[in-house]
Amino acid sequence: MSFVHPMFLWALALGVIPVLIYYLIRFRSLPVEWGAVYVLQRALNRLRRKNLEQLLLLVLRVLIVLVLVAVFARPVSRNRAPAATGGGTHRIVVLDGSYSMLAGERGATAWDRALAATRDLVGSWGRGERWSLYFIGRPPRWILDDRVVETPERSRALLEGLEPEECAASLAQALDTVLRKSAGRETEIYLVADDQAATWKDVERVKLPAGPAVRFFWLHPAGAANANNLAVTRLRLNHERVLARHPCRAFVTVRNYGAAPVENAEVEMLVDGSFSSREAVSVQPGQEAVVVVDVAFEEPGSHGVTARLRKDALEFDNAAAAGVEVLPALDVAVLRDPARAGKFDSAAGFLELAGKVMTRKAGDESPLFAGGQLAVHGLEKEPDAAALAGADVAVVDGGSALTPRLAQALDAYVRGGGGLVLAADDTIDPAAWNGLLGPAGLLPAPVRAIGREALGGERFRSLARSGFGGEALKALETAEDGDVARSRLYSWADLGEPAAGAAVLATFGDGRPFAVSRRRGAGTVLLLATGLNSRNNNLLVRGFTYPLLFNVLSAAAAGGEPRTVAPGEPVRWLWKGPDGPTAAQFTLGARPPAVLASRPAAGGTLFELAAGTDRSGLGSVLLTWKDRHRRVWFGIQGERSDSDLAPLDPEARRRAAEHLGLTEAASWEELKAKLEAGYRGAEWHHWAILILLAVLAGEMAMQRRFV
Amino acid sequence: MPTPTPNRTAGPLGELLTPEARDALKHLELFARRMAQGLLYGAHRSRRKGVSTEFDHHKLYQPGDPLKHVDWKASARHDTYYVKRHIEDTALTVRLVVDRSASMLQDSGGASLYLQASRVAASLAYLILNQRDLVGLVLGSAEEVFWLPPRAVEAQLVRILQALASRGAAGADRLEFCLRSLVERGGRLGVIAVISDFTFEPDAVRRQLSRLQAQGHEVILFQIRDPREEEFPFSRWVRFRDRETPGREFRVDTVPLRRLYREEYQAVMAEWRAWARKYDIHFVSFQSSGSVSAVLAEYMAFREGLLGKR
Repeated sequence: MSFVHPMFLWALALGVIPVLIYYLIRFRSLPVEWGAVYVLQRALNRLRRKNLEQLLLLVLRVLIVLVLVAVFARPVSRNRAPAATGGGTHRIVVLDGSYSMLAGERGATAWDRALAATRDLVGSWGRGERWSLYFIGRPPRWILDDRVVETPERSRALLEGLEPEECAASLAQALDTVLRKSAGRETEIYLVADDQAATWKDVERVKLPAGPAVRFFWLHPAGAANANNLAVTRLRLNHERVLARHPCRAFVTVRNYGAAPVENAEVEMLVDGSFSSREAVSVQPGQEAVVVVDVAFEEPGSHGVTARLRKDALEFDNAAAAGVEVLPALDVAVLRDPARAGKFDSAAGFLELAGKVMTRKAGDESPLFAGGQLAVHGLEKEPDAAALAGADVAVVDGGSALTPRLAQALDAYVRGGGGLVLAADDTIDPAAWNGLLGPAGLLPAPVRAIGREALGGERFRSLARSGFGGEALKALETAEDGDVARSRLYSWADLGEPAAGAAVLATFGDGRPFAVSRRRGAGTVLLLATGLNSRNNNLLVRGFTYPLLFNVLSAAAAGGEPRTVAPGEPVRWLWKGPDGPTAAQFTLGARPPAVLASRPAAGGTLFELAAGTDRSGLGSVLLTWKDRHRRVWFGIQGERSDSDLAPLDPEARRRAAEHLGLTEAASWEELKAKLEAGYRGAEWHHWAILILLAVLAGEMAMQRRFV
Repeated sequence: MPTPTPNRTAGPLGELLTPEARDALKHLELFARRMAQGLLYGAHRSRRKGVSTEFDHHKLYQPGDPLKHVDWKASARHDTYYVKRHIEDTALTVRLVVDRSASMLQDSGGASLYLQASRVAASLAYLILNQRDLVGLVLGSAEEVFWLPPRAVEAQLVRILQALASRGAAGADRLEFCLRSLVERGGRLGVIAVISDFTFEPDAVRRQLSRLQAQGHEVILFQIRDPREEEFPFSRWVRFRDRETPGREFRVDTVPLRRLYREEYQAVMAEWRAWARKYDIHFVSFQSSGSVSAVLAEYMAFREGLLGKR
């Protein structure tokens, strides 16, 4: 026999109350002087014969208390079969809060069904029972730890604030935690989770505790079939700072988590929430495809780009967003050595010419580019940090005079968010570069030597059309603007092993690094294995020259804080200069705004939401001045760790059910029916009441007999 | 002979015999139901044959008989000398035996049992002395047994009242001793009035009472009941302290005991009544809350009725 509400059994101790009352009243007896002691003794002699009856009366009173307690505890007779339960033990609800629970039609997702079933489940527990709620979210945590049910309504209300979080669920890890908590106690564990194979991975290896029985119930609400389940796993723009009206290339990675191939799935691009373009993609099950989309921004400022798929089994992972800063112009400062006055002694001449070409206005006879401002100016004197502050990109090449002071100024410039292009042409002194820029941390890779080949010779080097690292120069691999493999470089720098944190963006055809990038502070240093000029190469006559130039300069200008971050990563925005915003707050979807903390940083004020946000999407920081405001878009992209809805295969399911002794149900009604069917005995509640009434009648009869 | 009057009517003595009680008792008389035996001439028939106006029988003359008692008329008719015998009227001797054990201190009826017993004794003494009979007093308890020999003098009432008033109830019951002493002392036959609550072990007392009755005394039992002792109005745990035995206690749950006690109380009373009826002893029982003079008046009327039937 067991009890529906065994916690009431503590009240059995109240059974001593009649005994205590007996002795208390006896102790507090009324003193009376008595004369008729003879009569009293004769009566007492008869009463002693009734002592047994008195004892019986006391026992009856104790029994009344005990049976009353038993009535409240609701005795039930049932065996301890796994399916037989319904109450009386510590209950733990393990709720799968991973985003795969959002699979299904809106309003009827697996999560909606799971929550409704869980509400019914916890609402069936009466007052005084103990339960816990373990939520497998980000991070997995106890929402309720061994809480007493006050009212079923209150228990249900505790579930209201919960919603799936952007994470994957591991029942095995959750059960390890939960079973440690339940050690030494009779426990019922209700697993409210979908049948996702990833969720149930390694469950059969969970070590079950010895001792009191732990019973498992699995409430698995039906979600959606896994037939069509694509996800946008990644969205990257080639640069986070691009020029207005200038092509920006977006790379959208789409993965097919479904069981069937998907043909011509449409990927929509949205800029600032408005439709921009659409591309089709076909993906095989378990495969990924990258869709490359060109996006152009008409207006300078902050913009948000979203890649979106049509609705499928799991809508949550069908979109990804990225933030981008569109610049009206790219200010390029080329450091020149005044001692070297030759036209092609540095990149300045070439870049100034390129700038002029690229800034031809509409109406000119043959504009090379429709828009985009490239303002190139040379810095003749040795600049300090203040002189560099206004430039988006600073270019250093063989025509620049390198001094320790300049290295310090460059370091401060880069740390403050500036972009530095180191163009290692054939006139540089590798030793001086390695000696000055290397110790300052400004060299992504050491320059080993300068290689040369006579113009027209056969031992030139060419860029590779594949093997691009990252997206910065990846646009060049499509050959839309010319085949970079047809480039011929007759002088080059042999770069050594990239430093820690450095990335090779492009390589020569022989695999040697051509462009190596490294973030330093808030800025970026881009080291090119060639000069930005038209000496010793054929760049000037190739169509890809200007795209290459733009991409190189944009890659270098992509300094500052990132506009696309992962959930949990800090959201930062750097204001350069005085008169920064008075307040900044971050919003994402319908979530309440979060205020960004501000602190002084190099050259300005850094606004930061250190904890970041816990969910993917297109977020924005609203910057407020006294007389104006501005919105800065951020893309939050999480890992698609829970997109695979592949269900447990029957064998794994059988093993898990066997290991845990699972009782499965797809709804509360089914679970309730199974719980009730598990009763092999009957509830003794009415018998307990009958016994109580009988004992009460006996007590009253005994009392009456004495009076 | 003037009516005996206590010197004081106020204070303890006056409390025992109030003027109202005296007025109520003034017209009552206690006659002996059995043959009285006394030295004084009085209103009660005596076993002694002697001087009286009431003829009893004739007896043959024996030498030595006073010639003045010869019934000459009867002797002439039968030619044999007969002597006239008359029933001698004598004074009644009443001995009042008052139980002054500590159990008589029960006082839930407004007056303690002992006070009511004293009032009964005082009233009887007044009544008896008022009809020129002899009255004595025995006050008995384990603490002291007080004897006041029967007298018919006026001061006897005062002595009795003083004895009753000056001695309170105390100690264990010695009624059996008192009665045994009466048996052993002998003395003139008369009335033995025993005034007590009779809530004690009865066998020894009954043995002595029956001996007195056998000797020729008339025994009257006055039982005074305490309402609380009779009703037993308790419904909780009570620690009963024995009045007669210091330190003796009974801690009892009175709820189951109440019915048993009441039954036993009535049984004890019934046993006394049955025993008294068996020995032709009057058993007068009344609650301490009642009026003593009314009880005595009722009893005297009852007794007069009995005597009248004879």
